[in-house]
Amino acid sequence: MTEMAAMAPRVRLGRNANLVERIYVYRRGDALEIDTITFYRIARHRVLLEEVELITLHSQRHWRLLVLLGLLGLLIGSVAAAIWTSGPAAVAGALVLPLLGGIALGLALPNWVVTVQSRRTRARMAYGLREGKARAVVAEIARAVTDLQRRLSTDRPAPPASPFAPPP
Amino acid sequence: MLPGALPLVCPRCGAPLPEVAFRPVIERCGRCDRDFEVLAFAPQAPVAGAPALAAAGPVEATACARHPHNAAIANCARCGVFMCGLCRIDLDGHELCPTCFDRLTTEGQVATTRTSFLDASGLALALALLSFLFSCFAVVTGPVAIGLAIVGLRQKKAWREVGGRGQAIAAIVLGSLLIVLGVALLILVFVGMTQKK
Repeated sequence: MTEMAAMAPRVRLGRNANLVERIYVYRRGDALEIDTITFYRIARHRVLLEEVELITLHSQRHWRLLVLLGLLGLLIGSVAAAIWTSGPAAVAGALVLPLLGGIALGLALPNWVVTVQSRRTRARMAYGLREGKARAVVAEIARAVTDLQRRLSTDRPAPPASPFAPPP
Repeated sequence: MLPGALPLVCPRCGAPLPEVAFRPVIERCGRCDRDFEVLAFAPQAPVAGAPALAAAGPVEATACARHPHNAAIANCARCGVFMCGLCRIDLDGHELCPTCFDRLTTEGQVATTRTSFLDASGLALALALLSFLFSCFAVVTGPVAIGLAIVGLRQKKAWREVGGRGQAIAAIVLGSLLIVLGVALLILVFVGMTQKK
């Protein structure tokens, strides 16, 4: 990392999480910094923009979470219905409706995932329900990668001529 | 693909992708048969060469300390040893030889090469939240949470991070509440004990 990159501000681009760790992705100078937080320890690695080969965008749905929410709604609904057989059915409905709403929202609006792959490392960011933000991040990274790689290709000096090459 | 490089993979299922498959905007993975949008780039391979001493000219040529056949192109900023293009490491605007780089990173003196940190803000917030369950220790845990939150804020400042101070600020607020709660509990206990007497 150059001195200028080390002094550049660090801007959060996105996050990703699973059961055991939280991942935050930042843009800093000519690199993406990926902070992986496991318990209370941050492990940091970088994706250098000059090495980026691929940026992908895809949408996905958390099917496991949706099934879990559905099962939970079914369980709460059946328990509530069994308890309040003679009481107001609205109680059971009030308990189940938010879960059903969550499932409907998850089915209608997917999670957008941006992946940046380089020669040595990868960064992955997920944007729940925010396609516009995901596309904006892709565009920002793509612009930075294009600019940097073009600049490097023009700045790079020609390789030194071999002393054993035949004379022209 | 360069030797030792990570294979490019399908972002959905992780299956390796063939290198020729990256030109279209929409790509389909051969394994999971689902599509994704792709932007492909062609980064230049790193230049790992160094001019040979024999080709450097009769006057200016100095041999690299590690590679006697390569011409030196710089001095180490720390120990002054001559280095060729293979040995030179650019770090925070300084040029270092591999030995000095190893030593400085082992001693933790180069900030940009550190890869492991304490998540002070997260720890402060978790401690503050947990302390509400164990309010009897609030007088101790409140200040500790505030101290950790301040460490977290300093970390963010040192990293020149834009935003992302919510956890630390929440921990400071909760830590202050804990101190008030702890002092109130202590006063109640003290008053109770004096009334019994």
